Amino acid sequence: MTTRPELADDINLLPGLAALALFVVLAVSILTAEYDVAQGFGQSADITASIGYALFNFAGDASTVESEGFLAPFEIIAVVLVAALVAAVMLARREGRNVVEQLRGGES
Amino acid sequence: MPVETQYYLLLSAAMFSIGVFGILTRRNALLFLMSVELMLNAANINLVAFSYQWGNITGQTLSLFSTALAATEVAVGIGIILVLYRNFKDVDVTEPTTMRW
Repeated sequence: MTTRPELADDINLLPGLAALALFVVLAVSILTAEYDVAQGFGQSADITASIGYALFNFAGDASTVESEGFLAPFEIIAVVLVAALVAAVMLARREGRNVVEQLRGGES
Repeated sequence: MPVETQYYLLLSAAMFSIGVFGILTRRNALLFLMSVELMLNAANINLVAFSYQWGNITGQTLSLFSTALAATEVAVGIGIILVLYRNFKDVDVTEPTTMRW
């Protein structure tokens, strides 16, 4: 006997309706708003280079697209990444036996 | 002819709503993380779309930072799921409610 996928009929419809209602509200507000014509970057703009300059606060000197400086967020996000890495290692570490014993012992 | 801004916003709203739907219905912790990723990337689409709208690169640069934050969030989330699996032999997010008293 073959089995085929069946529609579940014992589900709660409320979360789906909530998400759909959220989308409808957002879509109505988006579609009724007025927009200017998009300014774009122009043909000669070098976007990747401009992002690179913006990351190190050189935006005014050499970049072809205007931007704010992002040096401080760059450094802060570096600290956050290191903190998250250490936190992930701390969470994943096994309690008890240390790594050297584990490698010598063989079994996990 | 470039795509108009409101269609980017519609796509972003749809992605965000799909993420909300996933968080409300799923019980698997890994699918939870995927839904959170969807919501974060919906915000990224908004940033890039408005960056193009105003001809200013600030939004695109900021979206890079928000991607990095999403990566840290996934790293910590995977660590928590690992501990969850080790303690409960399952990644069902409704299981740890037994830790309440």
